[in-house]
Amino acid sequence: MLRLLPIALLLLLGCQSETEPDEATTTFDRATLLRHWADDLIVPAFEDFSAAAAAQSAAATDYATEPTEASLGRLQEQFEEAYLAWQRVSPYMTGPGESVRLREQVNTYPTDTQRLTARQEIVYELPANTDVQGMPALDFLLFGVEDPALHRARIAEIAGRISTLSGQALSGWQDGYRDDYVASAGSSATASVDRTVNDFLYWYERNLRAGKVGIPAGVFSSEPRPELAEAIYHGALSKRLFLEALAAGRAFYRSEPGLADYLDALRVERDGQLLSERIDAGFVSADAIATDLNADFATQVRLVNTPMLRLYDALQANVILLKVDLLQALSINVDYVDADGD
Amino acid sequence: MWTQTETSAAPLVVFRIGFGLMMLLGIVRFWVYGWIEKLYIWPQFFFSYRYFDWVKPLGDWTYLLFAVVGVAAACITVGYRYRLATAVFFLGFTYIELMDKTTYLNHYYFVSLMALLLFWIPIPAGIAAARGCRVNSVYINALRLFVAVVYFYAGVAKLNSDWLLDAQPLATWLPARAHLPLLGAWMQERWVHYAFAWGGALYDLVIPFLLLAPRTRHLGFVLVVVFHFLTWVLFPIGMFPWIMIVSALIFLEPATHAKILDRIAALLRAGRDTVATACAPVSPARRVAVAVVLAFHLLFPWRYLLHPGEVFWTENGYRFSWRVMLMEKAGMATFRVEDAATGDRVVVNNREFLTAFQEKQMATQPDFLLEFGHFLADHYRSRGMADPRVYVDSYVALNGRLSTRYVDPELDLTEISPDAPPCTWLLPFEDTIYGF
Repeated sequence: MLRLLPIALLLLLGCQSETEPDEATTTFDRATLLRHWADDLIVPAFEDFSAAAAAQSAAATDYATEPTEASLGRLQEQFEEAYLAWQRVSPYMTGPGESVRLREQVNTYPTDTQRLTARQEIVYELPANTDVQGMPALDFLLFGVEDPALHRARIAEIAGRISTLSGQALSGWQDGYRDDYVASAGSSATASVDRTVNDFLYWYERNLRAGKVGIPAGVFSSEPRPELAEAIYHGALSKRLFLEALAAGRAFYRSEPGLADYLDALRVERDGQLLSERIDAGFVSADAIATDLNADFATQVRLVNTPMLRLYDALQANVILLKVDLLQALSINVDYVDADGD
Repeated sequence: MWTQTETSAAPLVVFRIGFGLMMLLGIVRFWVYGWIEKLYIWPQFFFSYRYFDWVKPLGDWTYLLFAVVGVAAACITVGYRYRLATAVFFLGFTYIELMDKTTYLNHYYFVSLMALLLFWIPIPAGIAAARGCRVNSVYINALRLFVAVVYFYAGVAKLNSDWLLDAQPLATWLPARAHLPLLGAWMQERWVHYAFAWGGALYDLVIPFLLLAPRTRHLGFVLVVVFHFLTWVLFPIGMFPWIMIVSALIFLEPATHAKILDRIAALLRAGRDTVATACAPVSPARRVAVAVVLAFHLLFPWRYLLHPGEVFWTENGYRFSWRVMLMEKAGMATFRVEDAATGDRVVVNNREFLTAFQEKQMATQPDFLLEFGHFLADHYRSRGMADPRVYVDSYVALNGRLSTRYVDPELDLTEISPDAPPCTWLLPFEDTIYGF
C-alpha cells in the first residue's frame, strides 16, 4: 500500500488535467482582470494626468515669461483640469505611483504657506517638504495671494515638478511595470489584485473619506476644521474634486471585468441582495448627498456642517462593505505579511 | 492500551528524529523569512494571553531565543541530551508562542503540547541503539492517542451547520485558488465546496480509526499524505501538513520504523551495532505525567461549553481546541478616545500602534479589542488626558454573512474587566449556528 503512494499522488494530479471547466459555471480570471485594469484604466489615467500636468506646466511657463490676466486665466484653467485629472489617477498608486511618491508630492494639504512663500530654495525631494509643493501649493499661489505674478517663478517650478513626477510614474508603467503587474496574477498578499485593491481601499478611506470630507467636518477632532479642506483658496473647486474622485472610485469598482463583476461571478449575496449592488448603492447615495452641497466644502462646513457629516457616514458605510465584506468575499489579504494560517 | 507489553523503540526514535527535524526546519524557515523581525521586533505593542502578560519579546535577544530553540530541536533530532533538549525546546517554543497571541496557530499549540508530552516519554539516543531496544508500548500508544485526538476533535468541530450546510468557509476560500494549475478549474464549483467540506469532516473523523486498525493503517497513512498534500497546495498553512505527515508515522508498525532507521543509518554510514538491553528507564511517575498531559489534551477543548453564546462569535474557548480552518471572519475596528473631563476626542489610527497583521487579528477577536482599548486608555492618560474613555466602532462578517456591529459603539471599554466573558459585553450574534 505504501508503495502506491507516489502513484496515488500522480493520479491526484493527473485526473485534474483532464477536466475542463464547465462552460455554464462562472470562472473569474485574475490575469484578464489585471490586463483590463492596467491597459484600460490605470495607464490611461496616468496618460491623462501626465498630459494635463504637462499642459499646466506649459501654461505656468507662459505665465512666468508673460504675466498677464489672460495667461493667468489660462493657467488657472489648466490647474483645474490637472487637479481633476489627478483625482482620476489618485486611486492607482500601486507600483510606480508609490515609488515616485506621487500622491504625497502632488496632493498633500494643507500647504505650509509661510514656508512656501519664504524666499528660499525648496528641496522638493525631502519628505518634510511635501506640504510646500504640488496642487495645494499651486492652489494657494494662484488663488490665495495678492499678486500671483510675484510668485510666478515658483509657480512654474512647482508645476514643472508635478509634470516631471507624473511623467516618471507614467513611464514606470510603460517601461516594464505593466508586464510585471499583469504577470503577478496569484492570490498571495503581494500579488497584483491584492495590492491594487488594498491601495484602492487605502485611497478610499484616507484620501476620499477622511481627507476630503471627514477631517474638515471634524469627525476626527473635537471641532470642525474647514481650513483642512481641499482647494480652500480656489473657493469653488472642492466639491468638483470630490465628485470626480468618487466617480473614479465607482468607475474602478464597476468596470468590467472588475470588483463588482468578480463579486457577481462568485454569486456573493448578503441578506438576499447582491453585495455588488449594495456597494454600488453606497457610491450612488454618497454622490447624491455631495451633489447638494456647496461648491466649496470649507464653506459648507462653516455654514452647515450636518450634511458634511451625513456625507461622511455614507462614505463610511461603504468602507465597511468594501474593507470587510468585499475583501472577505474575494479572499483578498488585508496585509502584506505572507504569514501562515491554519 | 496501558498494558505492560514491551515493544521495539524504533517508532519512538523515528518520531523523535522526524519531530526534531520538522521543528528545526520550522525555526530556520521562520528566521529566513524575516518573521522574527516582522512579528516580534518591529511591532511596538504585543497582545498577551491572560496571566501571561509578563511574556514579551526580548528585543534583539529574541534572535538568541530562536537560536536556542533551534539548537534544542537539533539535539532532539540526533538524540543528544534528549530530555534536557526537550525541556529547553518546550519552554523556549512556548515562550515564543506566548509573546504575542496575534500569531496563534493551532499547530503551534500542537507543537507545544507535543513537546511537553515528549518530555515524559523515554526515547533512546542515536539511531543504532533503537535496534533491539525495547520500551513500554504505553508511550507509543500515548503518541498515537495524542495525534488521533487532534484529527477527531477537528472533525467533530466541523459538524456544524455553516460547514456542512453552507460549505463555509471553504466556499469563500476556494474560489480564490482558481488560478492554480490543474486544480484551479474546479475551485469555483459549488459542488466542489461541498465535496471538500463533507470529505474533510469525514476524513478527520475516520482517519484516526483507519490509522489505529492494523488492517487499514497503510490506507490511512496514504490518505494522510494525500490530504495534507492537498491542503498544502490550497492553503497557506506553512509547516503544518509536513508536521502532521511525520506525526502519522507513529501509527505504522515497528518493522517499518526499523527499515526507516536502517535507511537513515546507511545514509549516515552509522554503526550497525545493536543493543539488546531495555534501554529506557521504566518509571510510574512518567506514566502518570503522560496521563495528565493526555487528560488535559482531551478535556481542555471542551471548555467552550462552560460559556454561553456562539463560540464563533465570542471566541470564548475557540483557541486551543482544534478548530482548524473552520471560519472566515473579517472585521474592522475604529477606536475613539474621549476625555470625560474636557470632551476632547481623538479617533485612533490603529496602525500608529499595531502592524497590519495585528490590526487584522484584533478586529475579529473580542479579547484583542478589549486589551487594545485598555492600552489606549493608559496611553492617553500618560499623554496627559485626565479621564480617557475608550469606545470602538467595529464590524465583523462571519462565514459569508453580511457584516454587522460587533461592539456597542457607546460602550466604554475601560469599564470592562479583562476577565468579563465576551458574551456579556459583545453585541449578540443575530443568527444560529447549529452543531458543535
